[in-house]
Amino acid sequence: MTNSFPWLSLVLALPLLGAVLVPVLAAREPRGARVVALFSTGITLLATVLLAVLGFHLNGGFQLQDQVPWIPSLGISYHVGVDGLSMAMLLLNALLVFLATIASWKVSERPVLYYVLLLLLETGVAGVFAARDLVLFFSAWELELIPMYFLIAIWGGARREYAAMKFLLYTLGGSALMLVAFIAIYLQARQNPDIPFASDMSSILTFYRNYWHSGPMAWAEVPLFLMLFVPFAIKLPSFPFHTWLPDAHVEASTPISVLLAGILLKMGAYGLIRFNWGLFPALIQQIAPWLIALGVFNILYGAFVASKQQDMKKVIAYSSVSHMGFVIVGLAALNTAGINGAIWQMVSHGLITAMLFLGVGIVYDHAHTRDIGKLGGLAARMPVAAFLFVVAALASLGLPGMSGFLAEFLTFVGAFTAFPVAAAIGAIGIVLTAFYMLWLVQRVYFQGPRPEFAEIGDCTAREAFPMFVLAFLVLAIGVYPALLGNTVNAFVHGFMPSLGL
Amino acid sequence: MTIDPSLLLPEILVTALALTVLAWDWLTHDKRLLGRIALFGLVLVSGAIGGQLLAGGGVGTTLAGMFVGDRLGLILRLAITGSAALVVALSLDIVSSRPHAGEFYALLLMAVLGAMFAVSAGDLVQVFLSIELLSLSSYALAGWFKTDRRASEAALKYLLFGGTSSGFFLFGAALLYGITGSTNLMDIARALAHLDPRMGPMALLAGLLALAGLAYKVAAVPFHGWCPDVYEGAPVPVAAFLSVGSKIAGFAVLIRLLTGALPYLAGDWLVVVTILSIASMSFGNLAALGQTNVKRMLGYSSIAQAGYLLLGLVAAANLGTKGLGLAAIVFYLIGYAFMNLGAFAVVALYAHLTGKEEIRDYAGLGRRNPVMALFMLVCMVSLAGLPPLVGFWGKFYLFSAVVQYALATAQPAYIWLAVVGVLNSVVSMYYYMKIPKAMYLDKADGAPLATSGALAAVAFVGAVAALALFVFPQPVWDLAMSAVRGF
Repeated sequence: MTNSFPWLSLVLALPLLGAVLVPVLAAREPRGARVVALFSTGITLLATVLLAVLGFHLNGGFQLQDQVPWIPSLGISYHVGVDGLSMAMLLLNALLVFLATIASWKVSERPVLYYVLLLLLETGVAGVFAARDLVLFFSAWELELIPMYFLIAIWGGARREYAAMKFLLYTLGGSALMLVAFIAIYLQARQNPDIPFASDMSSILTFYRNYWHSGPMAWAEVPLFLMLFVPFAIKLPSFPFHTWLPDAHVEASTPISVLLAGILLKMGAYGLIRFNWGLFPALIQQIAPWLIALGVFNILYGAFVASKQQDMKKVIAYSSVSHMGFVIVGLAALNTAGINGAIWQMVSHGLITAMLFLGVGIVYDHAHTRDIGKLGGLAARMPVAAFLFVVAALASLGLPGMSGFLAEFLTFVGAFTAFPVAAAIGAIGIVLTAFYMLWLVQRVYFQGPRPEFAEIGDCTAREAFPMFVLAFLVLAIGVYPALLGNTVNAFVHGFMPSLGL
Repeated sequence: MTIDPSLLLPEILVTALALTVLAWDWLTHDKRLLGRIALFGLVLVSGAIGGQLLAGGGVGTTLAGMFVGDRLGLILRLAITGSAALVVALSLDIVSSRPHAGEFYALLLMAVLGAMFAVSAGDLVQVFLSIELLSLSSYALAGWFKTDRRASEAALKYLLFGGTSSGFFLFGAALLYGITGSTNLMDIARALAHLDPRMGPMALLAGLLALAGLAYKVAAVPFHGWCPDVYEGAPVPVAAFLSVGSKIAGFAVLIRLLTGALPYLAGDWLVVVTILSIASMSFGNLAALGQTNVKRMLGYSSIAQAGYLLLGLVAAANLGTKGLGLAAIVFYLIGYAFMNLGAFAVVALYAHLTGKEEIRDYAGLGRRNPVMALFMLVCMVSLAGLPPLVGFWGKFYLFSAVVQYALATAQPAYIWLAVVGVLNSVVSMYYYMKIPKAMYLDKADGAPLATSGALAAVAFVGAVAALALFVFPQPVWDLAMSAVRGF
């Protein structure tokens, strides 16, 4: 079960090691913390890429697995492993944290604490995507909470404490239900003496695949589904559990918003795929129309609300609600194209929304406001920043040749096959996205030069670098889809049979 | 009657230690050594109990069945003496320079002795006597700051509540004796198995009265009234001891009484314990939300923790899940001792250095003393039950026990009991985060705070154990399982 050397565990431990090293190495000179953090996240990114290139086989299913008994008498183990989906998410996590560290270069308040929390956050998120044990998954899921709470609450805006506590309690409320559901699922699997590790995700998926309708747990199917659906819907976020997101984004600083939207929301989608789709395939097929309806509603609702916002960050925040709606639609289509599209969207949205938040951050740092009504004509003053933001906006509205186009195209191909009417309604969302994104660009960057911004300069190379990297990836995936497509497609082809399709 | 001194060895040692402390106080002028003698002695006793555990000794009954030596007793007595050693370490800086330090340590050791006898009680008479020894010593300890009005109020309130609940317990014990003709817990169980059905309601009343008396000891709602006041008014080390030692003793007796003497009434006390649990969790957590005093907040937190622990007794009502439920209680008590004493150590340090105990006074501690702030953060997050800390496993086991009970007895309603439990821990996160919020978020001027060696060591032990027991829970879980194997 365990391969010769625990490469994956080593890569997962790198940010944790960094979190320990930051206070040690930067004890004398707090400003040095950022250098240590940059090295830690850089090495983590490099190691993750190497792991993906050298150690990962496209059609190998779960691989690079490490398993060590944790509480053997209760069947709980430390078990990590990756498949295509996990690998893609680990890469996204490592990349975005690295770029966020660069974007955090100017943090001057308590830098040591800041970078320790950032690295702990990276550890927790990576653990979620690599965990193959229910208890380990839950632990990693919660490990991310306290660092994120402090990252919003200490380095955020005016209402940061409120927003941070709201984020914390929403997520905790969801994970409370998740814990009870996990316990029930795990205890029932433990009744079967053939399963050595009852909290192992692989064992549980096998155990429950045909269990619900025959077993004594039939009564629990719907309650357990809901107890797992709510926490992931909160994280995604989906209406009506999304209200923490705009608050958290508005108050969080730029790099934290990048991580929040870029990678933390993907934890919700990831949980839906692994648990709700993985454990309850029969139920999912029954309620697919309702899920499509929820997804379409999210797309339209997010887009409508985004178009009415005055704060640039809120526009991007609600666009996330809208874009994560695509993920639900793609998943609920229950066909190869749809699920491919949903996972494309997870990666693509991670890259694009990170770019958008970085762009907003640059505007705020230079013009000292995010109020769309007060901004205007910035393109003349900061052409590079304007160019990069326009690239991000075009990617976000799904321009062909960029990653977002393929994600939405695949999603809707899948959705049209399954639910033509709902898909047609959802497609209005693409038009709405184009409307509010271009309108935002128009008002902030082009409409009438404003005298108060006559003095501001363009973004620096350090500010532009993360956006350039992301723009390059968005274009690279868009022009050469096999870069991401092979991995995702291999995963989907392994995943479809488990849905009974 | 034969007496087996090897079973009573820890108690004999603690008695000797208490007398030594008193004699030292009387005979010498060097009062600073008092605390160190008590600390050294308690470490020695803990070592002796640990040795008995490892050697498999200390098992049997003595004093005509009054005293039961078993692994549950050994493990929980070790938890009590270990916690007491940490409490003495907490007290060194605070108590030793004041007058009557010798009496403080002697009373603390007497309370420890009472708690130890309670844990090993096999007879209602010993339960009563040992609980009284623990309580009477605690009343005096709570009011040890004689000139402090709050301390006097706390002691008086504690005494009145304690006296009433002792009355409840005694009445219940008397009824049980009247019905069954014995005060021995095992004999009571045997007699109740063949009980005349007409006596059923009487037996139920007797069990409920005894349960009420013990619910007071563990600070379960509605017998919790003393808890916040006493925690607030008593010296910090005393509050720390009451929160841990008293709870361990109370739960040990509850385990022995409910599963040992009253298994045939399980269907009845199950309902009562469920209600007590829900009430304690919900009331404790909701009331803690509004608190501004750290010790008072920890008092309400302690009420809520009693509610979580009672979940284990719910699972103990079914033969199939009894082991899991009781082991979960033992594991939780051990983890709780570490994280709670760690938190109290920081409270004690801060109160000792600045004289302040309000949550808002902790503003800026994250800068003024990053190490102590980190320990406090760890203990608070652990108390809230979040990974990667031991509080998570504690709650995981307790909730697992309840869910297992629901599955084993096919009563889905008890899954909702677990949901009530986890939702309560979400609520508790709000107030447990208040101190970290003040420490890290609120700005305050102030010079760096020094760290006292002994207090920092206790906080260190608490925080590091909270982390270590998350990573390596198996040994303690094995210990907890072995403790309840005979039940």
